[in-house]
Amino acid sequence: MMTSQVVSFDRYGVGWSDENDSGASPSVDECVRDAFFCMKCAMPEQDKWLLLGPSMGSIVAQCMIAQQPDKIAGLLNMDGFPAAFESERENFMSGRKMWAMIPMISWTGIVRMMLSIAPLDAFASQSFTASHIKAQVRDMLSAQLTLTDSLTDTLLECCWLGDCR
Amino acid sequence: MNRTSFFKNTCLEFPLMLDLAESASNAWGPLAVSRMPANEVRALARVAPAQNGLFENGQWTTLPRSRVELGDSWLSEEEKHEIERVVRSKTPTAMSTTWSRLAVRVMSGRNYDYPGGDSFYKDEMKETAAAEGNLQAMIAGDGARYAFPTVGHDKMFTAIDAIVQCMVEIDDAAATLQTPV
Repeated sequence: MMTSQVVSFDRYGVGWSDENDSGASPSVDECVRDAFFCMKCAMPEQDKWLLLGPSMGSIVAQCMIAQQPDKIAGLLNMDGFPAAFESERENFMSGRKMWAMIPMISWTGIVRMMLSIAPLDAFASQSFTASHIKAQVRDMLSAQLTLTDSLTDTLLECCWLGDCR
Repeated sequence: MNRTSFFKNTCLEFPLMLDLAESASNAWGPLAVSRMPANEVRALARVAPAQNGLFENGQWTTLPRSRVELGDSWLSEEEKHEIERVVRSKTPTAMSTTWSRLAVRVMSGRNYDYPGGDSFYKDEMKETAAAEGNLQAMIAGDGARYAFPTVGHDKMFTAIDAIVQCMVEIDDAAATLQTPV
């Protein structure tokens, strides 16, 4: 019977890893360095790796391959989104501002009001329902918040459900 | 544990994600699909996946194509060979040289193929996603792309049988490519 060892980790600042309290995003180099560090710590003797990169993780994996090609023997790109996202930088940075604003204004009740009137059913789908989003956000903040922007849905999917559990 | 800082952390994820995408494209150079001529991307997007359906209990069930897969039809073998020739004629990069030694499997889900999601995830990006997956499979030392037209992006982890099968294939191929893990 074939046995395998798997190293799975949350990147810095997401999931169960340490909170990023620096106020700055990690750089690509830091992200790649941290990934190899985690892998090395878990399995010091391992010299070659098979990577499983889901969603945003597929791009992390590609950067790892680019930086340390001799360490990687294979990759499962699991529904990684295209590098064309680089062409949407402006839209994503706008989305970032919106996310930064939500916690600041949630005390006013505006977000709850938006939740009650937003046509969230329009965003419902087989794979990602509005109630799904709301339930998870509510779970985190113990408050009703809304996500009215499809861009936000996409980001939540990429960054949270895909990689950060 | 970062749940209580979810919004703050997500904000910090945005620039990283974009920087990663840009860095990966830079590594691919002329083989980055986001920098290829539109006609080549279109052709790459229409390369048929090795399988299109669901993999359960050790076997594939073929399903109709998803809206994510654009175009009226997949390329013929002849057309596929032509786009492969075009891709291989491009100046190699360190990334493409490395890639040619890797075992690669690509699982393509039902990317943002829903109301709301597809208002953002434009047709152009759907094509780029399919093209990118096909390119990665095409130039790998041992590569294949599998499409899952009924599995949403956030449900890919539920395709356990397929994930295991892909990892076994990659492991076997890596041994054949003399880069055993």
